[in-house]
Amino acid sequence: MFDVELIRLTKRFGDVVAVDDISLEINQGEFFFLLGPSGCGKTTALRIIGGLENPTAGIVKIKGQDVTNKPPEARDTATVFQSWALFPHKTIFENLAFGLKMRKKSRQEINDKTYAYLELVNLTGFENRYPGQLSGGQKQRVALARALVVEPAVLLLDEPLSALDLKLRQQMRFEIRRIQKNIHITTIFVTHDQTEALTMADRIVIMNNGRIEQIGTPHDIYYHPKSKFTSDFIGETNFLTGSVTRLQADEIMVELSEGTRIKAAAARDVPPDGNVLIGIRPEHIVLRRQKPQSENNILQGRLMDVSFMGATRRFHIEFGKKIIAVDSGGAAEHSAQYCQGENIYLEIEPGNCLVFPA
Amino acid sequence: MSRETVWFFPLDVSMVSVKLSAHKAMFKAIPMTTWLEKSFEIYHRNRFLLIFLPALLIVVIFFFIPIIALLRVSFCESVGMGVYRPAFRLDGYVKFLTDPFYVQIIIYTIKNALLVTFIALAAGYPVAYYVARASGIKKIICLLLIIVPLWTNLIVRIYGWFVILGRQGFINTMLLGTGLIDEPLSMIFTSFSVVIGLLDVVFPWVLLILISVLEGIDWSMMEAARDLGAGRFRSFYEVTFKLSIPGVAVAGLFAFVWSLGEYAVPSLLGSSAQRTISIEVVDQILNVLNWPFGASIAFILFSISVAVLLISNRISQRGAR
Repeated sequence: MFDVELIRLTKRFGDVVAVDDISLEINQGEFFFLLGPSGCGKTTALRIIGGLENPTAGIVKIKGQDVTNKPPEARDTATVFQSWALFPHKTIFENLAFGLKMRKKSRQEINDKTYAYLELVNLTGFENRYPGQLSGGQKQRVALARALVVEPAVLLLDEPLSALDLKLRQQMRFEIRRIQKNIHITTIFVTHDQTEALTMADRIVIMNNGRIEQIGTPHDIYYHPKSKFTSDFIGETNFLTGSVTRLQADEIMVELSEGTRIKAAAARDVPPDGNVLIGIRPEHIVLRRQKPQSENNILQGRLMDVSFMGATRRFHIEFGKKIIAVDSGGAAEHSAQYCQGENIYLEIEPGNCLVFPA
Repeated sequence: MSRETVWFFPLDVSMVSVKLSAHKAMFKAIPMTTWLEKSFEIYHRNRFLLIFLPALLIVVIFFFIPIIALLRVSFCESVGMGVYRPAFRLDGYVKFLTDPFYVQIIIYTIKNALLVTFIALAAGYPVAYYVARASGIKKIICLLLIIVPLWTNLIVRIYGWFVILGRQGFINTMLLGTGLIDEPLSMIFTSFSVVIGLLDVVFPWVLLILISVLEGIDWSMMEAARDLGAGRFRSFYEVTFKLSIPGVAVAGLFAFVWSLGEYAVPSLLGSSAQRTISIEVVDQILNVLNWPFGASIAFILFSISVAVLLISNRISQRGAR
């Protein structure tokens, strides 16, 4: 049995389809991410699971039980809102106790649990303060504790870190992940920040225009994107157009529009007309000053500029009419002096060439 | 600097102190007595107060001075025909607060104002809630419906009620026509018509205050309450209602104080037998020509308003956590 199950869920706002026929299964204890650009329907999907929005069609199941028509107060979910939505007129203690009070727990239990969860988020001693007296990071933790204290079956987080600054955000990522693993709660996290998703998730679903593009582990999604959209959205990708000249079981030969031929491994879904996009990650390209003798793909280009990025350097290489981005971080590369306009060779393993229909 | 005053308007304090030291240096060059230097410094530090001067003058000249003059007149002794001589007498106050005839006027006025306040808040809250949650063209239309009547002169609106509530008015004609009643209802010149007229005056303002308060409450907090297990009504009560209490207090104060002091509505729509405090003030000053007594009554009315203001302020502050 899955903890959360969405079956052919659709939500329309007038003519706009926010969620378009999505089906998902989420396991117990899983840290699941809904990732996509703004307006892709991820927040709407989350709100439907929490009962804050009614789907136009489809079924929502929580712990195997159909809750599609149940109001939010009757669902075993708790949400951390993007704006946190803390009650400004209640103390931190009262904010946490609210959910327990609504569940008619005994005074003893309310007290015990509230203090336990305050401790879990490292806010012991803050119980008598008001939300207005806390910093952003502390408010964030109160919002998390307020959702966790009712011990829901499913925890829903709607871009909870977007209002924090970078350092705090990185710290909270780690903290939320620690707590999630600690209490082993099924969690759905909505974000548009790919780093957030890649670092924290057990599994990610990539959404675009209300539809699911791909579901998989962070590793899977990064290294084996199934569509141009995913490969473009997660990380960076250079795209080159070309047409297939030879098709084999585990390898295809593509003639690029710039004239060069390259090999790509493991072709999927090559369209009948043979026009394809080749996607190459900037970090999968090795720069060579001399033309290497190798079985790998070699492209010849001209160095346009180099920018220092700390751990790596970003090279822009002119290749035909395209600009190819290359990231290089080796010590040898760092010490090498490149001149603008110099001729340069790009070496790419066929296995790192992703093939998408054009 | 030992004692720094912080003003609430944007002002670059560092600039001022730099300028100040420059001035000081300039003045140091010529011999100067310390008190002159000191008074210059005091002026320099507080010269932002000049911004308040025009407003301050208006309030002092047109509000504080007349109020104090009124207070002085209220202690005078009347010799009849609008003449009074200086004295220190509390006759007017004692008479108005003890004579059963006048006590009944106070009670009637306060009762009417309370009723208007209660109706305006009870009827206005749901409307304001609806408008605050509405969006787009719906909201604009609602706001126009509230604001446009305010562009009509009050006297014109009051005469409008004559047409509606009169013996041969709209309602009576309708009811007689359908045979629901045999005799026209007497609605005009009763406390009913006074309450209706007062509501006409205060309702748009109460709505506008409540709308602005309810608009400021983050909708996601209600969702959070429901998400945490509170039902529809409970989450409204726990979040939206509790957070709106300070605003309700302000709107209520507004309705009460205005209804209490309103003169045109009770004098035109009320019965001559049921007087209000403001009618009594006008009567004493213009007809009876007993200025000290009229001033005493006016000051009592003013005091009630101030007392209510202080109480409501207390409620707002307690609510504004």
